[in-house]
Amino acid sequence: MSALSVRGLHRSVGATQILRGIDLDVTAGEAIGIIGPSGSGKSSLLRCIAGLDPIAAGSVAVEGRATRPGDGAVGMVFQQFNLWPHLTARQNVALALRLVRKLPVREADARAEAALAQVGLAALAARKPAALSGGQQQRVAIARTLAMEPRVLLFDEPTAALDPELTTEVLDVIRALAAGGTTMLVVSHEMGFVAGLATRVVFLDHGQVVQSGPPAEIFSQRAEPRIQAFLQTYLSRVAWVQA
Amino acid sequence: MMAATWATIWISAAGIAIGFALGVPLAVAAQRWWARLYISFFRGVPLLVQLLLAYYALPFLGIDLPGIVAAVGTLGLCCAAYMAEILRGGFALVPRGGLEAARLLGLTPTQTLLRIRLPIAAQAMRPALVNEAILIIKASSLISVVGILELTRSAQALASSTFEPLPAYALCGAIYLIINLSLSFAARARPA
Ligand SMILES: Nc1ncnc2c1ncn2[C@@H]1O[C@H](COP(=O)(O)OP(=O)(O)O)[C@@H](O)[C@H]1O
Ligand SMILES: [Mg+2]
Repeated sequence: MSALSVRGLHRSVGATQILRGIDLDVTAGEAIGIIGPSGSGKSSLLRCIAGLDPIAAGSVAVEGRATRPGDGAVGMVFQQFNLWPHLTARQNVALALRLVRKLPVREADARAEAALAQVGLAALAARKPAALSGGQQQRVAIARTLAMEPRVLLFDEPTAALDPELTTEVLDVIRALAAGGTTMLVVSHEMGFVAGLATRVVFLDHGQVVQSGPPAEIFSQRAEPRIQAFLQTYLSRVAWVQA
Repeated sequence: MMAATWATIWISAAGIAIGFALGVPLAVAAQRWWARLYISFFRGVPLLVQLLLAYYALPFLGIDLPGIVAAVGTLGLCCAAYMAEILRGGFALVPRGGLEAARLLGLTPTQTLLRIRLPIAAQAMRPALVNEAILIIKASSLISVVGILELTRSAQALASSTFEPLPAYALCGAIYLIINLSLSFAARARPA
């Protein structure tokens, strides 16, 4: 049984088709990289899997069961972190443990601190989001999601809102999770990161999967021309300085 | 006058507490017709008229309220309409993403309201909420019409019994000022 199974997923808003029949099967422990042009439907796909956006047709199942938001099956990390600004890092992580998992305060706090330690933020547990850098905020957001132990973890451009020098600390955390066997889908424009992380890369365009395969296939001359054209725009941004 | 000062303080405090407690659900339901109707009525009719209605008109409908109940109730119901408007503005400032995160993590709508939306909204709207509380404290001088001996009424009594209006009303004004300044000071001193 696959960890995540997406079948014939359609999403439309009014007459606009945003996702047009997505099929995706993810085995436990896989890290799926999702790439594609802006507006191709990457965020929509993750949001439909999480249950945040309604689907017009098709199905999403985690470990064989249909999901709904809040059932703990799917965790999501957003581009904008979405931390709660009035709570400290520890409280951000502990809140759902207390209210949803009904853990006593001390146990929730202990688990929150463990989750923060896992993302390297044990020392900053008492800070509010405004007193943290973007990279630190995103790591708190990851800890908050991890603490609830979702079966599948979704990342929607987790470093897109960060200054370049802060992306590494977040990417390192995601890499460590993938190495530890967390089942995840990662939308990212950090192509080198995706190539190194993903067991499989899915290229999306106009709400459809153009091609899906191991990184060595997608990031190569064998990929579809549309993918090569897309990747070309990234290659042209890299500065090469030759001695 | 001391007793009357305490009456003003606790009646206002009760009115503000009721106003806040009712203002939250009203703000959540602000788009519904009944919430709109409620808010328009209590904002559109003078508090004095509301008090007269509650105390002198309701008995004709068979509802006979003690003065203190009419006073606290009317202050609270009226305050709720204003609190609702303020909180509605505050709710609009709560980022959507934080609510989506809460939903995915499994918080119920009520938990999200009490633990996330309300604290963020109240924090953002704190100056307006304090302002409303001060307006209620001042407006509480009107409850003398339902026979409650509060600060202003007791100053009037003092002025007419001593034939010295100046010290009586000056003291009365000073007490309101101290109450309201303490309130805004306390609100400002609380860490963000
Ligand atoms: N709620 C919505 N209403 C209308 N159009 C939307 C909505 N959400 C997304 N879209 C449109 O769907 C397309 C895919 O959006 P999105 O999933 O955000 O793409 P990506 O994340 O790949 O950039 C875009 O053209 C976007 O404008
Ligand atoms: Mg997107």
